Amino acid sequence: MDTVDARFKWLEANGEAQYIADRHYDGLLEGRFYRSTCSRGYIKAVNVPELPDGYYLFSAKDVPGTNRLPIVVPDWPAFADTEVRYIGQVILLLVGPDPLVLEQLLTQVSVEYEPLTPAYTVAQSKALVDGAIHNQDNLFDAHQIDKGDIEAGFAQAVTIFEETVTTGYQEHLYLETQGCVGYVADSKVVIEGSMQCPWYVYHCMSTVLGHQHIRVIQAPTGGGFGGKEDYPNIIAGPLAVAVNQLRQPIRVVLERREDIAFTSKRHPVEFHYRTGVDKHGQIVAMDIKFDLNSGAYFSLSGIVLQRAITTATNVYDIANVRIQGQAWCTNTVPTGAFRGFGSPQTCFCIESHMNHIAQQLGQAPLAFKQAHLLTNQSTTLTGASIFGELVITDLIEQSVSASQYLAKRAAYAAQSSQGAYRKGIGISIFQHGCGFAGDLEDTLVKAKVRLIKDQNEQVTILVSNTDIGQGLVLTFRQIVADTLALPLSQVDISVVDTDSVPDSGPTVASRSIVIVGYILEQAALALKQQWQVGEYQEIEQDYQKPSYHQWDQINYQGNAYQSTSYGVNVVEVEVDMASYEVKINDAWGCYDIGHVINEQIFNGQIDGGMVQALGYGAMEKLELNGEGVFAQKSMADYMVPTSLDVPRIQRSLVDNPYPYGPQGAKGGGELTHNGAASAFVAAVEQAVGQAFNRIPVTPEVIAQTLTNEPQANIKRIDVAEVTNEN
Amino acid sequence: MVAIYRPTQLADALAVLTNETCTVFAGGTDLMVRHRVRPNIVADFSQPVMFIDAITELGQIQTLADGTLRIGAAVTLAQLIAHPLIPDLLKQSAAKIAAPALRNRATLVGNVCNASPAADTLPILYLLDAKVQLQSCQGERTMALTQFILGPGQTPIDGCELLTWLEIPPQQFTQTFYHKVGTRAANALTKVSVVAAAQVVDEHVLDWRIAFGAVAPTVVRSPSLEQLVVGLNVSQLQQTHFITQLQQQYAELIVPIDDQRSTAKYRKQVALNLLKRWLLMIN
Amino acid sequence: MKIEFTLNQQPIAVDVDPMQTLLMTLRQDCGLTASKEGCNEGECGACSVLVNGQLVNACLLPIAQVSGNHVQTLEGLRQTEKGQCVINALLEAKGVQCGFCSPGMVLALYVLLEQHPQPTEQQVRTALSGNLCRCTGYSMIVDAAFIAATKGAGLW
Repeated sequence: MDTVDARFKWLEANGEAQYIADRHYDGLLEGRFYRSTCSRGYIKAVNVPELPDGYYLFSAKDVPGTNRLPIVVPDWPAFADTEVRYIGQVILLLVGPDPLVLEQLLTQVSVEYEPLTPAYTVAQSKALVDGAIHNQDNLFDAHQIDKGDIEAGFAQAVTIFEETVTTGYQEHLYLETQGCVGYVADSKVVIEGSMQCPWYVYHCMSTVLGHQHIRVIQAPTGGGFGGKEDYPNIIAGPLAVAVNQLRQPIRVVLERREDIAFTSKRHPVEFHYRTGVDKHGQIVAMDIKFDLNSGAYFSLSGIVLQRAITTATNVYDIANVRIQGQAWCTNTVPTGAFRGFGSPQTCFCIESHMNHIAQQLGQAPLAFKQAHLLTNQSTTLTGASIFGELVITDLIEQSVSASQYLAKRAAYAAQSSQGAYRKGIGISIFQHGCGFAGDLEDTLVKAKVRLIKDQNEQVTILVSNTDIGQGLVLTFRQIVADTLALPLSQVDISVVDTDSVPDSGPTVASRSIVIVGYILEQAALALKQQWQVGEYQEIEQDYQKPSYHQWDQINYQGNAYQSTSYGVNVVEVEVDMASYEVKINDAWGCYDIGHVINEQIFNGQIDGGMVQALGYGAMEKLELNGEGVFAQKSMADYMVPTSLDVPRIQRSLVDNPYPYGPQGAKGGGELTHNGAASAFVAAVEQAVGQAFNRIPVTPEVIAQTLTNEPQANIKRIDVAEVTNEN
Repeated sequence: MVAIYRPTQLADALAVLTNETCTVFAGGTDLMVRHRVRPNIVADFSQPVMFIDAITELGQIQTLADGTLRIGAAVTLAQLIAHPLIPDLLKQSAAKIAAPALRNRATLVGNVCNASPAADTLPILYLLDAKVQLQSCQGERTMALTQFILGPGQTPIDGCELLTWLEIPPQQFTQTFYHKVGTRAANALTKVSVVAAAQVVDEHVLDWRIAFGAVAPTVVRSPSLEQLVVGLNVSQLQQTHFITQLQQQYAELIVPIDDQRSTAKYRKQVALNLLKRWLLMIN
Repeated sequence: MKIEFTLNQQPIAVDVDPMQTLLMTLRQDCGLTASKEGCNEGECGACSVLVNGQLVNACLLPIAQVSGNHVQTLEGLRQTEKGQCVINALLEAKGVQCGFCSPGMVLALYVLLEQHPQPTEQQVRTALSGNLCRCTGYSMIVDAAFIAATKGAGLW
């Protein structure tokens, strides 16, 4: 196997990669959005200044097609027309040569609103003050799963624990802000830009423009993490309208503050658990209700909701479960995709709840979790049998041994409660479903890949999946090169351009390797069989659902995902008991992603994902103020870890090949973000001897808990009469 | 486009300031953000800009005959950190500001002139009884830093004056303490900071000082409370009731705010906790 | 206003607003786009360049202050043996993911090695502390410093 590739990321490292803001276009105009300053209301009038020559204004009136962007459902207008639903919603696009003039013109625009009472939180959304924002009830989506018999389960319980656990917003803070350039070439409206899913942008443009003379090209993308799944559509929709009309190149690149304030965020969630434990200390029933704050438009919330519901019991086999999840419309920035897509929230909440129950029962959290783990004989939450071999116990064993978790846990439990610095260690166990939810790969996405071999025996990969930093271009080339037994240098990958690549689906949901990589492997096998020296050959290959995979999208029954990856994280901290600052001394990540294709590339995912998750748990505070906008406005306000905030991650893998993945690989990119926040908080809990039920656990939160305002604790209800009956 | 001046001689700078109101610009790392530099748009400076970074004289660190340390207005934080004459406490606070690239441009005097409640170097400069020298064509005046900082962003500097030198009198400490609680481990703004120093001989406290940053409109340092400690034996100031009493007295002076980075309650609690830690460290 | 300085060893003159940043000048007037615009407030380090051998945030530096000074960007550094040593080390360590922070990281690593040819982990992490990376979690970039120190032995 030939994995050394001098060209991989060479342009980026040499500063020669041309990101969207680096590109030159003759006659380029700049575009700036005029955004709503009202959280909720009707637009009564839009007053615009007289425009100097060469300046243009675009609004909903200029949309030749349909003024609704089809992100899952077509509800988000390209330009707000009759109503506004959040501060920052695009109303106008102003275009012209000089950014300073554009800025001044924007200050002269005024919009008259008929304001309505906004709802920023789920509670406010449910209250329906001034009527509903969306439909009659503000409910975007709701689903329920019932497993076993919840009432019978609670009937066996001797103790019931009730707890609410919540997570906050998270900002992607990709280093490159969002941006696109539009122009006309060969009579097509072309959009180039920083994006994860060029075909999504294509479909949005075709809806807004009402034609298909369209082309979308991905530029090198300075980070995405999900943030460049839906939002490039929000830029490209209005931009396409302007380019379609003006026929001149126009650039829209967001400023950092604009990006922080108005692009999609990770959904905040609130999980309410009611858990019954029998006399043996075994969980016999779990009643879970949770709410997502989806923001003003539906966007990807339905799929986030589905993931959060179908994975709500994480890696645990609970006999009787009821889960009800709801996604609510509020007058805030729409929440969207962020690495993990509902799972980091679910994992943090359930892991914390399990830890807290264990503490209440006087058990060690790890042992308590181990007593509830899924096994090869288990039936999943959605009623499927486990496909393949579960290696969760190996992951735990490896993590515990590498970190010396048990010895440290015992030692820190015995440390003085009066120490100036206190240590703690925490562990989390988690999973991630790979690929689109359920069988949507088969019924909705229908991915297609193409391989071209030229007369010089050079092979080119054509797929729509984008490298946004995760190293996809190398792993894809490696899959094809290995299958064809060619040197890596003989396999290229095409720029993602909708004029040349087939729609192999979006770059989301940890699907690129396990789904698209596998189709590529199949295509390469086919090419190998048909290989004709000196001939030009094209191979197309479609996705085929593995026969074991069954799914009922209405009732959420069957294999919730085609495959599932697993992980265990251990985090060790030291808390300064005077300042409540937490130093992360060590972190371990052990994963089952099937068989790893390129370990160094995946190590980069482990490091990056865990550090993002440590930030999520420890410092990434993003809070709405009273006006429905974020109090943290800049990179000086929103804190992500620096090189001095995090340790080296100690990584390891358990090899567990998956028969329907390329070289046995499953997905892994998102998995790495799921567990570290929970392990971090568990470590802090041990260090300070208090429980936390929200993230981020900032020094302020620790101080508040340790001084005179303990947070709402887990509520314990002893059901004495049930014990007697038993 | 605003007029700019970038003299190499102090006299030339003062001459311009006599006639024109200028924005004085040393490293400018704060000024550029405040004047809203943004993509492809030049920052909005509304009055002429006087750059002082090229004035060689002001780029110096000197020791006067009486041991007073003089730091010129163009001295960067990086220079300060690397210089052998600079007290360690001052180096520690400078090294906690932002990150290397910013410290290569940002100046100590710029940090002082911002008069931000969260300025990192002000607590240590208060602690060291620093003075500032203001010069104009009409002459010069020297004042205590405590008189120079009037409130957030407020100083008595006149338009024709330049803060040319910062002076630190010589002093002897046997022990020092510095703790910045930032928004993260590096490249961080200050939520609360505490700096302290003492001179203890044979368990006898000859000098004891403490200053708090980011917990009030200006740095909190109280000579009268410090006098309560000076003269005591170490064992006396480490008694629980003494610590509690001193904490209560400082609590009255510590009046922080809530903002997007932290809370008033947290800032106050941590400031008092660190006061206790400092008292218990003394030996 | 005409400003003269040295850019990557070559004398250059630009006629721009003196308060315009070095970053805007490099990207817009000189066509050098290796230095990135990430935040415009000195927080992220993506715009890092060298002025007289020192690492600075080009987004906060008015071009007037560059007058008479020596500016080096990645476009210049990559043509030197030391520059290539750092770049190769970064690639070998897989310290480049999305690549947007990479130009700034290369310059920060270069300055580190000029000052500390055999750096400690703490020195490396401190040197990189003003350069945010959201992809790598930093360790592989830290590794690059050690690789460059070893493979470039004698250079530094």
